[in-house]
Amino acid sequence: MDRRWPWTNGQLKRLSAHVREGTKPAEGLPPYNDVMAFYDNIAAEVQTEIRQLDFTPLLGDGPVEVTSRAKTIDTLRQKLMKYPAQHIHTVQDVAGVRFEAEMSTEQQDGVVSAIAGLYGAQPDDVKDYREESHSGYRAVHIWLRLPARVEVQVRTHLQGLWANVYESAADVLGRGIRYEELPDDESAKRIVVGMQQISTEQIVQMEKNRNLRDRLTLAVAEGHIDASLAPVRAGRRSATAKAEDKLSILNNEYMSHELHLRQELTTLKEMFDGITANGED
Amino acid sequence: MPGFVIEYNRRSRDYRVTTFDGEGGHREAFERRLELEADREDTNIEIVSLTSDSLDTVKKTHSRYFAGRELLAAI
Repeated sequence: MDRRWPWTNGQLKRLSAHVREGTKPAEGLPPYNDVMAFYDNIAAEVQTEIRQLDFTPLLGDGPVEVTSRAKTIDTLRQKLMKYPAQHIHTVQDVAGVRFEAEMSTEQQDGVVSAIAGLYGAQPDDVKDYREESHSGYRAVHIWLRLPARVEVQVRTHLQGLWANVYESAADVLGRGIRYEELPDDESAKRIVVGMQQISTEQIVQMEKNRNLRDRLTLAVAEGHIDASLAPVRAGRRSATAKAEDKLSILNNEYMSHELHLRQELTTLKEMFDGITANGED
Repeated sequence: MPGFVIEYNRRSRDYRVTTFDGEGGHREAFERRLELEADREDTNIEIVSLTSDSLDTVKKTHSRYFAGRELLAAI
């Protein structure tokens, strides 16, 4: 597609005011439909380019899920109203690409590096929300300027699952919980805080365990057994056996915790979905 | 690339998916989204077009849209 930006910032600023106020754009302004189509096309183009990267050396043969979209009129208007100083062309995620895969956070770092490298993104353009979550939301975002802004969200499956469950919670408990707001109702507040803790404590711990397991798997495979796993005087055979035992325990613990967490999140999602479906909102 | 238009009712969770296959599918999907957006009367209905290689992928990355009943008729 033609990547030249066809409109002036002034035109988009004026169009933004109409979107914010829900009024029909004045004569001479670019049509809303054309502007959004431009964003949708550039998001699809970035998606295609990312899909063409070979992630097999990093992620193996597991599936990689990539989706793109242009922001809906509702979410665009909400953002422009929430941030009055922003305009369509300064909102980072009008064009968005979502990348998800079954991966560790170390592999996630590799995916981020590959995508950032493809577009020459600088370290400041990589927003790591894993350590500094937003209302519990954890992922890594890459901000591209091509010249339209595009946001690429890179999530592990667990991070993605949590985010989708939280979105369901927001449909029931109020969209404000996505922006650091808490419900007035005490029970609802506890649910929201509990969900955020699942993300920032339980999932974080699981990610650390997974990285440890993966490093140990590699060490066993390559015969580089960490001295902490076996006394120095132990023979190589016993050190390897100890490492394999520890790996087996770590693996079982991790699988069990992950299964439990997925079930917990699925139950929560079913609960939120059920509340709305029953018309109790 | 294929495109998918999802009409999602935030209150009832009912949803409807329209698939646009083929190389230009995502553009057709986006045009349909704009038409639906322009005609929409109920603001509880969220209309989104998503570009992806398959509906299965969309169901994983945007699972929140697929919790309720799938409808064949307009919602």
